[in-house]
Amino acid sequence: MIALRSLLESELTAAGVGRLEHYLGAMSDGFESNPPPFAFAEYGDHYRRCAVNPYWLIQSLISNSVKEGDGARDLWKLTTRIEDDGLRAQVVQHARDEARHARLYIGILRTVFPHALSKEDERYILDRAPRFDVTPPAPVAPHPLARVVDLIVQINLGEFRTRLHQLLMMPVLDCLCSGRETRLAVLMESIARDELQHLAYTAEVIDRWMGDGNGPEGRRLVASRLQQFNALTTREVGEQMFH
Amino acid sequence: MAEAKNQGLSFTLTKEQEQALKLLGGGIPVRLAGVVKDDRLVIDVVALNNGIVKVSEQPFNIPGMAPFIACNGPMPGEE
Repeated sequence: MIALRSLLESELTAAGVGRLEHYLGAMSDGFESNPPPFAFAEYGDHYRRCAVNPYWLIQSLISNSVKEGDGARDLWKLTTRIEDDGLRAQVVQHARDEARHARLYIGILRTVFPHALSKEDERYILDRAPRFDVTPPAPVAPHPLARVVDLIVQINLGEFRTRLHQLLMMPVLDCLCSGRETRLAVLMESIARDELQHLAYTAEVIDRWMGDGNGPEGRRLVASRLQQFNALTTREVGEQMFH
Repeated sequence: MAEAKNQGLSFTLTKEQEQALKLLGGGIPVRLAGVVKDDRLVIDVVALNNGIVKVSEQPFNIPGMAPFIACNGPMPGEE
């Protein structure tokens, strides 16, 4: 699991974050006790086996768009439960970024498979992407900080896996968009830049909370949520993966 | 005679092949995929419009379509 920790560290460095010892320690322990499916070579092999089918790949980009939109709505809702102004502003920005990603994934689809969607189908998908008000909703019935951190841990794990998916996706898409690589790179880098920031701010929140006397609780929380997230990932990928 | 081009390879279609593919596509781009068997290119896939006819309204309910997607919020049922 050293490779996974190294990847996480290098992603945080790329996002301009210093060493987050509490967070990295908890994640590292979690990776050892509950190795994530996406830490194994079989995960990437399975992705590439699926991705050679262009219909699968097209549907996967559409699914990513839909899921980014759903995630954006969940985050927007979550902002009403956060008391801390600074963190709430970060989650608001996060929600706006994900709503934009829902549209960017369709831009990627259009770049790689220009004829795949009719104008009507493209409009149908884009109309599903959320558009948020300029003013975020006011906080109501805020969660206790420990519960907020619990949710941030879950978001952080999701961001890390999403980032890994992008690393798997990029070379496959790049192979398929002859002559439009620059456009693809601009779109993918825009998403990647945001995801790195999301990974970074959530990691900082966890690290700060653990440093405030919640170290053992934080390690337990990360381990337990990672175990659940691994089960979710395995369920999503399905039993087909390790066959 | 029509000419189909694919990464530098080009093939001359017979009048019948040209007509059949145009009928099949009906104005929509047609993509062909095949394998080389001895000195023949055997077309085994004819896809219309890259194979996309309609977008699924339930993209996650298609078997095998859910994996490897983004995850940006709390886990399902958490918030």
